[in-house]
Amino acid sequence: MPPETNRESWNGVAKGLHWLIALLVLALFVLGWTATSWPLSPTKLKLFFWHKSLGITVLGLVLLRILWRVAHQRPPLPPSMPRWECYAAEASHLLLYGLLLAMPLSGWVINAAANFPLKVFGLFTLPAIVAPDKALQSVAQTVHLTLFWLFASLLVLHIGAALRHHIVLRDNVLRSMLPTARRDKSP
Amino acid sequence: MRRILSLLVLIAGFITALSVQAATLWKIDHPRSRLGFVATWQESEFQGVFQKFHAQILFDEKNLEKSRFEVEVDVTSADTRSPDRDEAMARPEWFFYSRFPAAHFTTRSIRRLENNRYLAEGELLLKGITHPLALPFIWQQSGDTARMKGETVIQRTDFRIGEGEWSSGEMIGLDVKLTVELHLTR
Repeated sequence: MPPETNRESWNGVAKGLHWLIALLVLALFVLGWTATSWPLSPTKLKLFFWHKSLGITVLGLVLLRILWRVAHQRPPLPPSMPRWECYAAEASHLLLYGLLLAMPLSGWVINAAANFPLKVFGLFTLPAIVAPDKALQSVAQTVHLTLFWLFASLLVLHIGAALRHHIVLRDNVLRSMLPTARRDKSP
Repeated sequence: MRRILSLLVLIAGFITALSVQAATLWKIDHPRSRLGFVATWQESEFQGVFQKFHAQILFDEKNLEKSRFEVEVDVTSADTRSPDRDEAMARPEWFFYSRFPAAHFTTRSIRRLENNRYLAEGELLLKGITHPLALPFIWQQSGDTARMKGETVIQRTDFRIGEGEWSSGEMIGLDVKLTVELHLTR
């Protein structure tokens, strides 16, 4: 039994934001993928409408998450973790935050460069982040797609690492982010 | 024979002079003139222009009877500064460029509303469908130059612009505002 099972978990706000963003990111993948392959129709526009609205929501939530993270202590990593693993964890999380910002921002650039309006949830209109520009639009599309693949790979790593901590190392890393986590012991 | 010929030429000249006098033919200063539209996309407005159009503007505020507009618009020259959207406009369910590349507007009557405000009523032929169109406009003239400015709203579905699923107007609004601003010289 690892000794670090009695650790603090993430606080409620950090957990709430983590899982809300996780859910939205999953929805964004599905919506984005479906929207791009859908034939031109009102449904396609509707799929993009939700993709864009949720994407901007994620942008806002990630900014909140980063602010919260900066202002609060995170639970420490298990002391048994090798140093390089701690660095790798730190780096991959930084990259995740970066991608969570870069994905919606590059999407916003595509939308503005394509000269499409952006009325989030039909409630308020966001200004165009760049001027209409066909060349910039295709660059931003390539960036958005490339970042998507990077993001998807990183998520596989993220989820894989969390499961490894839980199942193989049997430490508290995954449990510290679970909605119900207390300072309970592993079974 | 020669005398008769020259008489005929003289008469023809008179008729031409008379008809010119009936209503002035104005020449459009194209670089400064604009024929555009405003439509809505997911409740947000977007603008477009028809880059190519020709018009015969016969207008005389003292002779509205003989005043007449005849406009031919190259629909395929529509530009909304969005290549994706412009490409979509060419499709059969929208403007069907390959079959209906041109639109026509011909006035039946022009009457004064008040001061320099007028109403042109006529027919708009778009995508093979003709519908009445009323265009209120302002005519500002000083000497040999004039400015004509007007706008009106049409229902795009009257002309089957946006067929099938698009005809509900849910994503692309049904009301389309047409705007025209012409700078003219005579």
